[in-house]
Amino acid sequence: MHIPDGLIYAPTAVATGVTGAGLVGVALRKSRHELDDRQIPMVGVTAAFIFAAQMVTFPIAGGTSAHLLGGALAGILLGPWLGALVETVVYVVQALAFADGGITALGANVIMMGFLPAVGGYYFFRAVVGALPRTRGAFLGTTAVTAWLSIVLAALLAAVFVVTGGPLPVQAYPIMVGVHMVVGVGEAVVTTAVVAAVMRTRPDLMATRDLLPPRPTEKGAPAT
Amino acid sequence: MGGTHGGADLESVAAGHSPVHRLDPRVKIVGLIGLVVVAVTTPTGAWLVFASVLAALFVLAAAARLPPLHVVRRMNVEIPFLLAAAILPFTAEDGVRLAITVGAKITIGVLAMIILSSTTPFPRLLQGFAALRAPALLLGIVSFMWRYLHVLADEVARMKTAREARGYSASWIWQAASGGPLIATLFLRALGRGERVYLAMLSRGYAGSIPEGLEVPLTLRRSDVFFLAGLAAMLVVARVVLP
Repeated sequence: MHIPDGLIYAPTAVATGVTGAGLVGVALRKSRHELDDRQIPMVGVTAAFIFAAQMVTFPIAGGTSAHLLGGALAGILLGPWLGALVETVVYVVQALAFADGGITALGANVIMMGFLPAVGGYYFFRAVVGALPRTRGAFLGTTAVTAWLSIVLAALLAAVFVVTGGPLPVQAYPIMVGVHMVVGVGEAVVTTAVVAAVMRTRPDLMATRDLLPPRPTEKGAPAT
Repeated sequence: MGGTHGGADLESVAAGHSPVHRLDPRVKIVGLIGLVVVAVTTPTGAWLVFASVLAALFVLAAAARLPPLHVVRRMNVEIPFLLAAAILPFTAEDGVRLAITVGAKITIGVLAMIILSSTTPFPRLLQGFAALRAPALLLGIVSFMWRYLHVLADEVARMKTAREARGYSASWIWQAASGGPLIATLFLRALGRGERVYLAMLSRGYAGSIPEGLEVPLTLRRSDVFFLAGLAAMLVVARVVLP
């Protein structure tokens, strides 16, 4: 899904670049106080995990390549702004070190594959989980839905960038969205598996810990 | 399933010795990103500009003595996008010129970043960005991500060995169901080890940055100034005179 240099027009690159830089600025300001010492390993491991997951790519006919995003995962585990920064870092390193995604398309890539799934995903997740009964099933089910939606909507936005803001024909829409409706299933499985494991063992590190279902406590044990 | 990026290969090539490897990371970052920006903003059909920018990249790659096979293999990230550009002649007005222009821009962007990352070890690249005033929080995330990528790779290898010892074989499709729990376990194991690594770093004097005196300081030499001035002059000439 990474847009390379030249696949969006210069005005699109400038507009998305400025918007992306502004969003990163907001995220930096919002997370300055959020990142405490205990969270650093979680942030680093999540970033490394998403980076590694994105290395496995599937070429798509007629255009681009598909891979997992991890944006919803980052948002649910780390919170919207720190999650978006982790995604930003992944795309900057991919562009600089692996030539994956263009330098001038970095703004577009960060907006659609970073801020949309991490920030949008986080608030969608909060809204839905908040409205549902507090059970493990509701929490993980919403995680799966959020992950699937985040990658499909990101693909839609990518198509907007390369068609409306770039030279590709409108056929990019059905291809991008269709393929990612399938890839989204993988995204949902992986995201749910990781969120389930973290909520079982390290719920104290999750940004969405206030929404977690109550843990089953042993009878007679003092509540902690 | 497609290719992977081959990080280990990248690190050994980036650790090489050549005039380009020895350049200050700051001038390489500024110079090569500037070159990509110039190429991307060049209008359709300005063949001389694209040719001269590509020529400059070839000269750099040759001066860096990069193994041609390494460069070609890493350039395959652009193949899907070249295929996308290849349909332009059938869909857009003046499509052939547009397709070649898009293809040239993609190739220039990919080649420039391959040269940057193949001639600059990752810690040096980070040092360069820090000197260029990149936000500290972002650099912190990057450095931990890079560190933990190795932790993650190591955990994968250990889990693979353990799984094979239990009779797993990748060729049996019904064993694929163990993939989901495997990924979750991998995450938790990497997290546990990541926390131990972080505590070990703290106990050795890490306080948000590498202690002073452990990194080779960045110094702008005459060759760095020549490189940047030469590249800038060439880009200005290409962009202003040639179209």
